[in-house]
Amino acid sequence: MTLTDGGLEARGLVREFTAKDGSVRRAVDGVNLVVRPGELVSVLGPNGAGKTTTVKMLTGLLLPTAGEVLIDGHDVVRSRRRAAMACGFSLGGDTGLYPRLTALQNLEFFGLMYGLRGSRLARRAGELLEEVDLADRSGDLVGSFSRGMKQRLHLARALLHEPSVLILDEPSAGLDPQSAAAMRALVARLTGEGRSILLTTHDMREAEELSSRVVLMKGGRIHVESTAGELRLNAAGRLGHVVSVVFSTAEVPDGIKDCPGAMNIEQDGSAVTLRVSDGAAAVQWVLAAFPGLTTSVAVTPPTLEEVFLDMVAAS
Amino acid sequence: MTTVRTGRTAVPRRQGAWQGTGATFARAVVDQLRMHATSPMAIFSTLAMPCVFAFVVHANATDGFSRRTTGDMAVGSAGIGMLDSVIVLLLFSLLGEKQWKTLYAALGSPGGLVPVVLGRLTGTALQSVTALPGTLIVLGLLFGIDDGFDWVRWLVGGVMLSFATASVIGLLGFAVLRFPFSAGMTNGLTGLVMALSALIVPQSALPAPVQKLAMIMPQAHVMSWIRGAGPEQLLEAVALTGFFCALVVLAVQRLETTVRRNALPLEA
Amino acid sequence: MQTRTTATEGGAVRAALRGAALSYRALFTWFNPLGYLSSRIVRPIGMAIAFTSLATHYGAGAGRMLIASSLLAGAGAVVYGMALAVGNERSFDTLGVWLASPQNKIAATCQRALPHVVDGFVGGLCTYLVCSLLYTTLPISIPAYAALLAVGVLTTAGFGLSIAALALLLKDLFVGPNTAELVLMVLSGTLVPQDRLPGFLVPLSTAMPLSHVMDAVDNLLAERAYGAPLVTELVIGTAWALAGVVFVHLAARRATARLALGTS
Repeated sequence: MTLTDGGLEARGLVREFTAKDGSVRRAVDGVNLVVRPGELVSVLGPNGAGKTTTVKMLTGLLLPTAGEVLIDGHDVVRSRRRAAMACGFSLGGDTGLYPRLTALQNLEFFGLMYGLRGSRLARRAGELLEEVDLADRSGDLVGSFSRGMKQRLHLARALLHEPSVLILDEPSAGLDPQSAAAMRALVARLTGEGRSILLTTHDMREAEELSSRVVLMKGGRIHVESTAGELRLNAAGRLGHVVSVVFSTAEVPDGIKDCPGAMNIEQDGSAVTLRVSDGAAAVQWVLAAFPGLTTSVAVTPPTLEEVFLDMVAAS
Repeated sequence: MTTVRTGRTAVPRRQGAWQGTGATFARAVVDQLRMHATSPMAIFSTLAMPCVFAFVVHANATDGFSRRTTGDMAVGSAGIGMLDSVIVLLLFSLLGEKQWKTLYAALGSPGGLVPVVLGRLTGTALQSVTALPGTLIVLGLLFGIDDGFDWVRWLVGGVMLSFATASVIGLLGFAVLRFPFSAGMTNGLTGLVMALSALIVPQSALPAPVQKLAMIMPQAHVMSWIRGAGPEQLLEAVALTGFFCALVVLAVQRLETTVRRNALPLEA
Repeated sequence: MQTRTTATEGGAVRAALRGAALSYRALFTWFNPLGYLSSRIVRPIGMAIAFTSLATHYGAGAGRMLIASSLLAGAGAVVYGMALAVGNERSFDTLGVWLASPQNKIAATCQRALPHVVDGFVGGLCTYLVCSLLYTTLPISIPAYAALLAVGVLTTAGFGLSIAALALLLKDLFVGPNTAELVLMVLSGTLVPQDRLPGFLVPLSTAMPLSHVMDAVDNLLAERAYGAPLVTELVIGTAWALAGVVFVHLAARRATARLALGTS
């Protein structure tokens, strides 16, 4: 079994665009990515970081200027058909579906494009509509669907031919919290089934909740790649820890201001939140300085959102 | 005393509203020309289509008829281009408004939708007038100009024909705004209105049932005047054009009420 | 073994028909009662009335022009339909998904042509019947006309393949089919008989669909044998179909490349 059997691998992906004035802009600059079966990798980055361009190259919709993409071992340029059969993708959004077909008919039509037919196609379309919770709307025209329903149908379309690799571009963009949570649960289930999933998102919570690894892109390059937990811990030295203390007294004692390494203190009644350079030392100091006066003390590394914002700000 | 005050404040507010309406109308006309004047379909409709129809008319003209470009041939052919371009441009324009959800802003403005729709319609009419000289130049080069060519009727009739066409097609604008998936309905209009407008043959050459229907079309009266009928035909055309414009205004006002009352979506 | 093959073939045929039906519903944007009536019935009838009146006004008699404009109605429906069946993928933003799919684009385009061929036949027949009633004349019998129309819409489908290929490349959906319709109006021998065309256009006209069907119509009206022109028409249609297959193949490759280059 090679690295990319059932998975996705991108090597040295470069994409340049030539403007009308002849100037060349490099949108993606040497991206290397691996997504193994059962893994979900989230690609984060500010607008213009090159996420969508990367996704389009991974799906074969955009030709790389340099580099190669292997889907289940098949090169998306040289073995396009085989790669297409192994890859499902959803670019999401309000378009990309046939508004005058019902949800079921959309899946049937797209299924025929991927060589499915007859009872197999009908069964698969039915199963997927159940899976994305659209079974009761299967006979309704897609033109009448909400954004969330369309997003779910996009995902069902991507899954029709049972691909081993799934590429999702902002699957929960524009969804209400309930629909976004349902979408996350569905994507988590798909990862659990052993698929290799790559998703782009602006939702840090989604990335943290779902991802095996997180890739932060900036200026067309991969800035950092790690697990969400590692990213947060590594950033703690720079951004500090957050220590939350709840006192048993009516008000926070004045002495809290003397906490060593405190960069920021926010008080709310008997609770206080401190941003400190060393979380463990701060906890020890609080417990020693205010014996018997604390109800709870908790320390957390910076959130993924803070790490992300720090990375963007650094640019 | 109080009544007088109310009157005083009401008058300037109303004037302001009307000024806003006029400005919105003018803006809609200019935007219409700016956004769609050079689209491939506009050029196709206003030039290629009338010339091909003129070629067909010319090729079917037999002995006893002029085989050079006559006034009715020039205006009638241009009229086909006007008809097609008004339909296509109005459709693109209003569907664009629906797609970009800009009609809600217009609906919320003091003048409502009417100045926007009329502005778009006027813009398409002005745009379609370009079919008149364009077609004549091509036909003149291809077939020459007939000795008895009536330049006044060509110009006045041609301009009148474009506005008459736009007034009739204005009802289509209402349909596009009112009904979803109505774009397809436009296609039949070219054929139907073309036949009823007596553009390539006199009204008398149409089948009897069609002749009767043609009476309500302002274009048929314009064409009749261009073919030599008296000024009463032109007056009838003007009156019918006004009637169709009024119908468009009423229909759009009715649409505004429906949108507000029944939450009818003004978006695609 | 034989039974399995037959079953597989049957499945393939059913899938092809289902795909054709779904493509018609998904991509033919006039698929609603008013839209259909307007574009496929009212428009051709209106045009046919205008052109037949043109012929009678110049003293040529209604017969030939009535048949010609009805045949043109059928052909126009095929050309528009086939262009929309491909071009609307761009309108719905599904072109990328289609091009990225492993489906054979030539087979898919031919499959999508099926409903439009049927549609063209229905539209052409309705136009002929309504105009015959309006002008109170039946120039040729209905079965004879239906046979000519069937040949006409089939050969136009070959031409339509090339227009569908164009629709894969042009951003403006309607320029291709509208231009094709104008070309058919001038060069197919329908509205403008070949002997009235400028000499340099005659060879082009003979290579257009419908031109030999019109020869057959002229022969039929003159009570001469009309089989040979129909055979020639089928040969012309086949040639257009082969050219169309090549064009669709090249256009699909070009469209995929453009999409891949980010310039579509």
